Amino acid sequence: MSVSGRTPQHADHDTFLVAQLAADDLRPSERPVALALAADCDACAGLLADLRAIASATSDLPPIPATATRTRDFRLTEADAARLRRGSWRRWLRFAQSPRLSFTQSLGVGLATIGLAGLLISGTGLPFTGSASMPAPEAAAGGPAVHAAPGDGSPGVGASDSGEFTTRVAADASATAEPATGASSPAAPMPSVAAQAPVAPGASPESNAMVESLPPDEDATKIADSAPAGGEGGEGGEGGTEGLPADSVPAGDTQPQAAANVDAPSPWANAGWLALIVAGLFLLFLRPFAGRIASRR
Amino acid sequence: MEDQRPIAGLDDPTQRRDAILVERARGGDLAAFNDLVACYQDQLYGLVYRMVPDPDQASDVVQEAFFSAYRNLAGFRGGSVKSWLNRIAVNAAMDLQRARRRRPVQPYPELEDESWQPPAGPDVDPEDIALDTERTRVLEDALRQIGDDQRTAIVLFDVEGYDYAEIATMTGVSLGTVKSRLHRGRLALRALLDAHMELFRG
Repeated sequence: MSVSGRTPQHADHDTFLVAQLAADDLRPSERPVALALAADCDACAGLLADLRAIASATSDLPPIPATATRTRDFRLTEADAARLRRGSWRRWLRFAQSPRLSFTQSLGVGLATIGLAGLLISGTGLPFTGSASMPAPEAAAGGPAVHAAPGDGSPGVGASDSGEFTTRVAADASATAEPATGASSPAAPMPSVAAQAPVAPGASPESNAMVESLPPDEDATKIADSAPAGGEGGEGGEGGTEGLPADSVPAGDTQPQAAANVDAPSPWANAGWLALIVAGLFLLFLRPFAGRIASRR
Repeated sequence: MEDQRPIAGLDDPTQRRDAILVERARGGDLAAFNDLVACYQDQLYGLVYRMVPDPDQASDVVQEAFFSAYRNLAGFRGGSVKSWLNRIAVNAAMDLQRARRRRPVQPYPELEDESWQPPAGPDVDPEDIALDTERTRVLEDALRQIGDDQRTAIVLFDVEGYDYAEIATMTGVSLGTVKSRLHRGRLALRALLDAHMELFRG
């Protein structure tokens, strides 16, 4: 009936509209369109009749006699009741395992990734993020291992008599860019490197002059930028710039430190990133953990 | 005494009986709850079986629904116990449907036990009985093949007789979504039943 009356135009007709008409579920504005479809198109008219017949047949479906297919009695035993009455945390565990919460794992991965990325970008507290993102207090402190005191026996300030000291400082600073500081103990200033260490033989007079003129809190990377490579980056290379007069700093040299201060992330931002990571990990492991606990019980 | 007042106000003997059983079950009477189970387990199983046409999975869903009802007895706010249990069972069945969607499994099996037939009076033509049985079989088969959401909407609306708003509340979707699922489900049934439509045309 409906198939034989199908017209070429029927493929373009809105069958959903016909289905709505069959259920008498149309807005007044749509009703004339649907009625026109049913009146002008045999296939639409057949579809309308078929949909009504199907709806009627579905409504008349006989109840399934459960005894024919039900294989168990659903009454609760005392053990079931006792188990179900126990603490609410079990209920929470079951809820955590519910398929409705399956999205939590992907959400957790997303949150943890965002948190990790945020933390990496802000770079705070992460030693491998490089000097570009080094926070101001550390960046201003200079190169690595500056803590070695003059008299502690380590090869450091004063111990370097090979003339490589300047280039070692530069290599240390450029190779590792580790946050370290000699300025962290300003109360016990070390003797000036410029005063004790000989100038590197291969270094240009300009770079040597810069080393001598650096203030105590100048960034070691400045040295690295200006000194020629050549010394091996050894331990104990000191940022021996302490004790230099602050007024020897050119006015323009304060700008990098200012920029570093601007880039320094706020502790609240870091706490936010960390909270995202923690929340993400919690959501990620919530369902497996709940499932494991529930299966043990 | 406050809890007894709504019970006293119930005219329908079934609702009155259910309310009394719920009250006793809330007080820790497991036998009272099991009386409720005995009253509704067949009806609930029939509903769930249409949504989840697999006997084992349907049994699991119904069992879980009764567990959930027992745990949440305190949350029953009065009204029809049957509707409350149906709502819990529909939610449990939808949970299973969601789980099936995430873990693709075999399609629902054919209904193996076809021994049951609609009850017939003494003066019913055997040919009509055969036609009814065949119509029911192909319709049940087609229902099994359409999407879970569409089947749920059709079962709740056409078979169980809930209205759009009740179905929307039960399934947690909007009214428009319920209507759309129902209409698309019927269109899908129509496509599946194309070769058998003579059975349905009066």
